[in-house]
Amino acid sequence: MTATERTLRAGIRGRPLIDGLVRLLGPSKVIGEHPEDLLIYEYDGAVDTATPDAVVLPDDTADVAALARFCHEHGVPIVPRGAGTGLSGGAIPVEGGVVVSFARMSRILEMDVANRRAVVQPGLINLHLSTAAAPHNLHFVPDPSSQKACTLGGNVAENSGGPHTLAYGVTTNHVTGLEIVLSDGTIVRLGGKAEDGEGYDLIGAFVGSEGTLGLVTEITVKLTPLPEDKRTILAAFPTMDQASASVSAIIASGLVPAAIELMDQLATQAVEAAVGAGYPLDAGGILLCEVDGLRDGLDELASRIEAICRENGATTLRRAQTVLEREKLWAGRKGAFAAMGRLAPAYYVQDGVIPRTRLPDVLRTVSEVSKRHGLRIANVFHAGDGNLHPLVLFSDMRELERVHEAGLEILTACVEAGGSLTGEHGVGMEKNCYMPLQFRAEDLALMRRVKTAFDPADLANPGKIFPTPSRCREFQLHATR
Amino acid sequence: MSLDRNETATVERLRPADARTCADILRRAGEARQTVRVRGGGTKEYLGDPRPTDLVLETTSLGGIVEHVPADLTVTVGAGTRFRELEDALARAGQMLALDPPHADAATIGGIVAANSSGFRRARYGGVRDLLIGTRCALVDGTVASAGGRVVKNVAGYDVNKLLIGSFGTLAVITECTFKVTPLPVATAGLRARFRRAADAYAAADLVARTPARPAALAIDGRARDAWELVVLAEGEPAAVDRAIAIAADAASARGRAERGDVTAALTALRELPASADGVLVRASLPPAAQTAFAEAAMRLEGFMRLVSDAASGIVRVEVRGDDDVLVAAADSLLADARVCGGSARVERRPDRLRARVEAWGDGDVPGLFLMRRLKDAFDPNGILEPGRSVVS
Amino acid sequence: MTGYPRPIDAPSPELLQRCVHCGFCLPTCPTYAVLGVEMDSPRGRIRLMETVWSGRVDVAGHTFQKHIDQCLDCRACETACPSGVEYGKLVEGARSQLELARKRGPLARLARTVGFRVILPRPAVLAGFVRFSAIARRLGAARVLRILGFGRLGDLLALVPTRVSSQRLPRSFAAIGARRGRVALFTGCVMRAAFSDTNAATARVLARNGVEVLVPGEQTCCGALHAHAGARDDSRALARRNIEALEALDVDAFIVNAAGCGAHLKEYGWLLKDDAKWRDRAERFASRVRDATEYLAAVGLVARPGAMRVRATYDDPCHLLHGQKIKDQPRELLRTIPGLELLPLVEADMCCGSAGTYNVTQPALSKALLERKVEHVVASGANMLVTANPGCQMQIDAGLRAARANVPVMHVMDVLDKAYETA
Repeated sequence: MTATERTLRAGIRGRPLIDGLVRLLGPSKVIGEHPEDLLIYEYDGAVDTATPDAVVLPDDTADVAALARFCHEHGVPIVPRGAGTGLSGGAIPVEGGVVVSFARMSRILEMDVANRRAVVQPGLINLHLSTAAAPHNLHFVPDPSSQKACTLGGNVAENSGGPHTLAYGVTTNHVTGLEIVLSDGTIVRLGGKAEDGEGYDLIGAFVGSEGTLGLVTEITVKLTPLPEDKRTILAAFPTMDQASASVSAIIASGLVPAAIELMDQLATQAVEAAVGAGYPLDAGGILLCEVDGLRDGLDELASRIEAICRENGATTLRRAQTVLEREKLWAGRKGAFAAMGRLAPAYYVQDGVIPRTRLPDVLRTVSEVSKRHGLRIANVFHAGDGNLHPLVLFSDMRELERVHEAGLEILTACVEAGGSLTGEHGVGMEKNCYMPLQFRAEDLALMRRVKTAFDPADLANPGKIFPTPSRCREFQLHATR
Repeated sequence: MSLDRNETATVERLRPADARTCADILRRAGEARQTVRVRGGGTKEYLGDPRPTDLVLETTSLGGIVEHVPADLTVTVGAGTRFRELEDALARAGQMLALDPPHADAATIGGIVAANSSGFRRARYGGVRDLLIGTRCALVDGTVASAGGRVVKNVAGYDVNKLLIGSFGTLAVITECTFKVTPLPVATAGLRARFRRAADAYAAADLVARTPARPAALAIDGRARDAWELVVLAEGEPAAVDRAIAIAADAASARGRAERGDVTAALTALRELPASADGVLVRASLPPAAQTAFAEAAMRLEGFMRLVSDAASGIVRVEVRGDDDVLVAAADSLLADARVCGGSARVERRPDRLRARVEAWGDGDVPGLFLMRRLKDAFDPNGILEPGRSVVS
Repeated sequence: MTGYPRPIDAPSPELLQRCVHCGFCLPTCPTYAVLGVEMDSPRGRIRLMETVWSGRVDVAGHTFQKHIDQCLDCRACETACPSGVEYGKLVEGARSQLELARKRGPLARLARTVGFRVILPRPAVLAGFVRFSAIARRLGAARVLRILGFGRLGDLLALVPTRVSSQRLPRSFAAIGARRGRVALFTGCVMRAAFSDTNAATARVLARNGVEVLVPGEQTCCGALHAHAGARDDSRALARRNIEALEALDVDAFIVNAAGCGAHLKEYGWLLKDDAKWRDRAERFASRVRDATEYLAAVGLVARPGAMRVRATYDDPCHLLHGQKIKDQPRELLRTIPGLELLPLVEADMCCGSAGTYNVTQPALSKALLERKVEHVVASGANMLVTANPGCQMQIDAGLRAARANVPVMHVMDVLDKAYETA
């Protein structure tokens, strides 16, 4: 647990809050009667923690709206939670308040095959949507590594990506409609099944807003035809430099693969221990590349990619021959973060993005940071869009400060290379203090205008995205030093 | 039509050369409560219900390519740059910005973004919102702010880019844009298929859209009740392009007559519909499967001239000609139909004399409008930017 | 009180810290699927176990007790976990602490003692108990019990299978044809008392495939139910007896046909890890345990089964799939039967709610899971459900009967045996 400096905002807390919520929604939807239960909602997939004052499990939009009105009236922050797989502390009630778990709003409301749309509740698991769409030869494109567990609501909040978003876009490119509940309890429907609407693109602003603009209660997404076929290539290189040079060469050649993933030796070891995906253990870098679409010409594309890898020093080249082989290759990649548990009890994953051409030098910086701090750092990432995921391994929460420092150095390098603090995990409470690295005060003020329009009372997931004076003071001192 | 306050030359025209100057102009205008119109290539002056303003801010000096790193597949460009100019520069590096907006010769990048102006190729490559990754803009409080960035994946903070797309300059003045770019396709092929019924044309388009063929354009052109044409463009690797056209030919041949050939010119002509501003043009955005019903209703309207549809995206434009009453009735009916179909619509063009009788958004009942107004207030509290241009202002 | 009453059996910090709280286990957890609360997810329960170490949660408190009790110990989370968290060991550790801390009434304590120390280890007593229950059920005792206000007992009685068998097996089955192996059959407690037909079928199938089968009489209950319920010392006593009785046999493997027993027997090493005298013997013993399907699939069938016209579907017993990672073998064996069409079953990897004594201790949750299972079985279109564990067999059979679905439930070994009869 990190020693997070908290500013508790809740107008009411403890017994009065629980009693009020139970009166409003009934006991089966409220957790907090037994305070020990609340400790089990103080974490998500990342490292930061904070205990909620109450947890509410709504059944429908009306519950959410009633809850929001209640919280608005009493000045209580409201923090949405999907499956709690997030990697930036998005679901952590850093300023206290009510955590809203969408675990019971997890239905597919409509599978609209004719329009290639699905209308779903926010608690629906990402993979369950694609599974349900598969008989219609359709799928939902964003495929975060946590897709077996993470929810659509979480995907909307974080604007989630995944390996296959390189060619087909992230969550925001696949949402056409939302029903949201503002922090004052107003229910607003935005868009629908059409691609454009009149007026401002509020859906575009809402997707990726990490619960700070309101709570999403219904989502309409595009479903995309499944590719007819795929070719998945594993290429092993003696060094990461060669692997990343291959990525640049593939992009430069004008090819747009569906996915290009990279993994270094440390990550490979963990993955092999966990999944046995068949990655060569002696390689310095492993590249996973997939082309898909119509069957025609795929073999030729795959051969071109293999040729580029060979020119860049690949020692092993393997093309998945069966669906099972392909799934195994991907299982390794998708289980990579969690597999770190095999190497160390804890990890801190970064999510910086860099222009693709800067890959080799930023990776070298990562390895320097690792040496300087004496911390092992594994790399598993979406190389095709320059989205790095350095995993800083550690074993003791007392190391956390050093770990954060290493993470910050890596992020600084990403931003200096012209990149971003986060490509898909979100800012949350993990990187909000770092936002000034990437954005000037004017830029943050621009975002603040959006926040004010949606949530003037600042009750929707407060303490996220924007730097907060209490928690970020230390970082600002650090930065000015 | 002139949008200047009056026909005498009292309107101040300003042409800032950088974002800072642009912001200063806005700040002074704000202090003086002067209204401002933002003009790029001036190609889309017909959109919305714009009212005359005190100032016209021209973006054409905010031009030029700021940065293009071909290997990163991104380009940063001044908002005043003409689309054609950017297209040529990218082509020299074997790349393209995969938009095919109307008025491509004269339209500026800023105008294309502000009007969310896209063509048929959004079927494969996405529209402006899928390609724009960063913007710089000047605000009425005199600040210059950036949104997004120059990397293709970025979730740091709110995606303010999205709000600027289609905002018609009512929130801020876009001064610079960064886009994802794409390698030029190796191969291109086309197909045209004729049908006697709208439903057949849409059914064929739907069959193609349901496959992984990912055509670059899936356009439908209806000229009369019994004259419908499907125009398919495929781009990409040669083998896949051949196959995509074969799939389209298959889909079309059951119901109509298909013919392979170059469709570039045909698509450009459809995109520019209509050349004259005579009559009414309604643009609807619909759930894809609702297009057939909408088209069948449209073709029965008195004065129906032509319907052009981006069948993959559900964007339909209908042209109607006739006397004033016919035009008013058709516009009302199309706006209502779009809503019934689960979509939305606006009147893009109508004769000046009908501006009072045919409002661009009908009754203006847009979901979430109150939130949009709050946003407008947060960005432009005195409402000096582009009055009447958007349903929000 | 803070911390655990008996740290040596408590969920160890080393095992706990493998969890990186990624949440991948959540959708695979049956109780999370039904209840949707984090405390009833594997990740939440692991967190509970951690917070006891840090003194923030009390073992005897409501939260720990309720949610550790509600765990099925189905170990689906282990299959889902990329970090390799050994959840079964953790939850059994937590249960052992809960038992020490829990205040039970004298009646409950007595029932537990009688069940665990008198009935389960004694086959004859258990068999008598089962026969009595079967007769009582046929006589409509469930209705009487419900009328008298003992609804829960009545529900339990419904679980008793329509046909029970408890005859004694011969001491050995000679291999038919060339002898390819020699094994000892672990006959179990419930298996011996109610499903001895299945034991006999297992032995016959093995014999038909050239395997000599010994049926040692000295063995006893494996102790799995005890361990799941937190009675680790009782479980250890039974383990020692079994090791003593079986370890000296000159056999290739100890064959088990009850998934729950198999998973537990394979963990005797862990159970006795802190017992210096027994640790190595237990490890050696555990390494020789094989599920019947696992063994048969490995040695391969030499005799071809006869044809069966049946549309079957297979439900994975949790402790076979998640506990022993045996997924393909039973399916492969079923596919060798000509005419048997194996249909897919949705959520075949999710617990049916039986889970040892779970249908007794958590009837409501158990019922919810059973209904879910029955729904999927019916939707599969199969006219026979095959599984490989007596608990699952009884539970699903009761569920299907209650739903008036005409789908018999059979053990994979019974199916093979029946197929051989027609060969």
